[in-house]
Amino acid sequence: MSTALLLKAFLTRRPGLAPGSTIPRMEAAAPSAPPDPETLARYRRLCGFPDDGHLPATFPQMLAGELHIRLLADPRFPLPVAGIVHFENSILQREALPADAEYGLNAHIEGHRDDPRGVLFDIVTGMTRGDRVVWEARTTVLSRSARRGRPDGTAAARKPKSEETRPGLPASPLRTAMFHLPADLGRRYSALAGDYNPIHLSGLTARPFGFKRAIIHGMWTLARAVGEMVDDLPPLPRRVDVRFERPVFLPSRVHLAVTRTASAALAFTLTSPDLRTRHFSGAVVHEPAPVAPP
Amino acid sequence: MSSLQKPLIAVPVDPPGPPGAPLPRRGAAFASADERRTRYHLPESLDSASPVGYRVRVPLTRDEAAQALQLLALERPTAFASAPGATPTEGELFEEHALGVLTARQSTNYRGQRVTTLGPEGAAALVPLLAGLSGREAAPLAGAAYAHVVFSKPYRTPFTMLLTLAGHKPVASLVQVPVRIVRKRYFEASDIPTIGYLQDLHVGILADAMERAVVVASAGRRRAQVFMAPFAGRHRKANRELSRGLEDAAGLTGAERREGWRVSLVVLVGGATPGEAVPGDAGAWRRIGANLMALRSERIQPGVNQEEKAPAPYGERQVMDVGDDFTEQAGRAAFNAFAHWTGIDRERAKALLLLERIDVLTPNGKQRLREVRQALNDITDHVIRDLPLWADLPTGKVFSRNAEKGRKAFALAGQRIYIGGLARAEVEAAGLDFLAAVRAFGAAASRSALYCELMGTLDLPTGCDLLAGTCVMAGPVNQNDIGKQFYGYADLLAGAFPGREPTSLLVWTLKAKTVADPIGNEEQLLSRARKGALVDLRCGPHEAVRIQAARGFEALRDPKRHGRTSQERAFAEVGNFVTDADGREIPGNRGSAWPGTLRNAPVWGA
Repeated sequence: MSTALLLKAFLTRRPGLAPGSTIPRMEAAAPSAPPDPETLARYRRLCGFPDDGHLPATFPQMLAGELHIRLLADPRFPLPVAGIVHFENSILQREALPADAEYGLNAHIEGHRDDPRGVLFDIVTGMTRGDRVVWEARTTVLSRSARRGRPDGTAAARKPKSEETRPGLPASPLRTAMFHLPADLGRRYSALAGDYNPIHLSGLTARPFGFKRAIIHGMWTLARAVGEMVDDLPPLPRRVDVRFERPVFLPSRVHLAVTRTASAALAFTLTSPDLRTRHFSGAVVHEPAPVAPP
Repeated sequence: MSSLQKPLIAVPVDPPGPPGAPLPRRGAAFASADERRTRYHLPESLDSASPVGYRVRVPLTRDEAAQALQLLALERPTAFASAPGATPTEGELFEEHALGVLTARQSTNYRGQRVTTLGPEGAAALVPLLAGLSGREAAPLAGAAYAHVVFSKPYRTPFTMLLTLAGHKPVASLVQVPVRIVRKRYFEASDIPTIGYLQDLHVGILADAMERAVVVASAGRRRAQVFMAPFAGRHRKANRELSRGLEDAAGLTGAERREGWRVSLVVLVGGATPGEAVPGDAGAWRRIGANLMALRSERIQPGVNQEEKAPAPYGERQVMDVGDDFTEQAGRAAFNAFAHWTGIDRERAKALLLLERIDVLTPNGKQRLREVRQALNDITDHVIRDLPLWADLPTGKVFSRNAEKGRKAFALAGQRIYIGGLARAEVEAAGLDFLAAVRAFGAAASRSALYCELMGTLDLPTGCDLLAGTCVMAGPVNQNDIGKQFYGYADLLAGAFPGREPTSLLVWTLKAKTVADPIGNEEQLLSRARKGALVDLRCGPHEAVRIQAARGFEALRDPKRHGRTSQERAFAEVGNFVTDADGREIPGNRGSAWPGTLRNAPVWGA
């Protein structure tokens, strides 16, 4: 990812969304190419994926990072880029992704939604193999500094910092794992993904954006979780949905609990080790392809 | 079955009280948000690479118990078969180590054992070296599928640091303490002999465990040929060159050698021949494996010796006894192991093993126990009184406070207490090396304890966690040894075996009356730095096991290579994890299985 593009994305002054305006449709695409094996190996090591000859479900999103930055650096993009946070993510993997195949990538942004915390917008990414869309993702991003005032003029309600009573683990979880996140993890993932959002780099660079310490990328925590439950995933095609609730500060320890639901889907939550703070919750479901009408 | 070992039979332990009477429950619970957590609460979470976790015991049926008891009378294999399945998968190897080096050590703060596991070619290369060893138990077998080379180092813990300061005269300590430090650091000298023996006791415990581990992890398809005696005592000196060859073959580095690591065991593992496969139901082997994990689970069941602040249910006495047939079988397990590991005749083994039984339920036993406790307390008083102030005061009296805390570790509590040991002259007269016999003694103690533990899970009533348990400890013996070396005290066994110059080595306490929820954690494991979070001192596979791979030696489940630390709990599918009364689990306790693509693959090719 070019430094110039990053600087442009992060340093360009943006006016924010004017009342009644929205984000215009912007598109970006990358030509078909095989993933770099070295990058893939580094990704696997950083996120705990075994080498099974296929791309991890979350890997294409990292590959698409440059496209995303290109969209955010577009002069037509109205929101400040520095300080935006990952809010939700939905990945639909339609088929297995051999590591040595060639893939094309495309992404677009269009429109926004008002939210009590700021402005939400989606980055939609697709990955193609030949003429088939084999993978797609919707990344929902929150821009907290998008507007000076709230659309309805009210103050945003703050969530309580921790729950009063200790929440319990569900009975007989499939697996429970503890992850150690070292202080430099944000910088290491940034170097791999090319996502140099200052909130991930250090406490010093995160503080201006309202974080007391650096926070880890949502996509690292999601990838690490998916890597941990790689043997439990329902069959393809499958959808991975996650909602990020509280940032994970660096360094820290977090706890992943995975349970099998009645519909053979997986439900997972990432919390603090004492379960009192939930960082994200999500699900993985088998999503059969729609039956074509006769 | 040879003349050395006798088969064991299961003797159940009756639950306390009249049949059908409600059993005491201790209500394991998480601390609520406004409650200060104590050892009587469930841990908040478990963050550990250890394969154990907090486990509850698995109730064994009579058939399962009979299957498990085969493990307490295993004979050495006479040949290896190149049967399918002789090559382990990564997951099988992990579980074998989980039952061996990752749990066999009884002490939580002694990380004094490591293993390098070699593939078939590496194992074959060991055979000529093993064949040349003097004192070896048998001729090494050809056709091993893999081999473990176990390294150990002298026993050093915070307690042994305290020992450096014990037994000095006020002024002389200024010279004597530095001299002792140098001797300990560079010449493997121990402050008292029984501390030196701990390394050998631990090796013996591990040898016995590894022999069983191979069988359980392979569901009876593989057998182990263990070499222990050549690496102890006089044989160790005679075998120095060959041992060095074994160490080099297993990748021991110069830095590790300087830290005191030396080869202590070699285990050849191969497919069992049809006549030597250990029969049993595959599912039962998994339950036995999970149970063995539970027996090594880091937990306490505070008995009636718990402190005043304990919740009321902990003070509830449970009147219960085990019969002589039970203790006879436990003794048989010990004699089996001692005969097996020394190779001497069973009756001779019985004569050499010195065991004093203190039956706490009898007036004489109570009196004897009081005497032992008093003597150990007096020795602690001596140690604290004589600690050099120049070391104790600048450290905020940390040494004397630790010595004071040690009293609790020496508080002998149980229904039957056995003090065990050996008489050096008698051992040597029998043609045995004393340190090799100490190793065999460690194996005997752990095998006897395992009998009690296994029987404590036989026909467990609903809601009951165990019917018998044992605690094997060296603390009282070491404390007595301080008294012997510095203050003129007699050995703990001197009264029971007059004129035989015994050396006591271990103490067993058999607690057949404890029915407990597996809760809480050792206070000594609570780290202030972690604000009371539990510190699991047991190691993970990457910390104690190296395997021979194409790229050279690498840690088993190396986090650097895989980007993740193993949090797999061995035999986890049995599901014997601790919960509170509402079925809530401890976060992180269940762990997470290693990826199937890695754990189901053969370690060294098909």
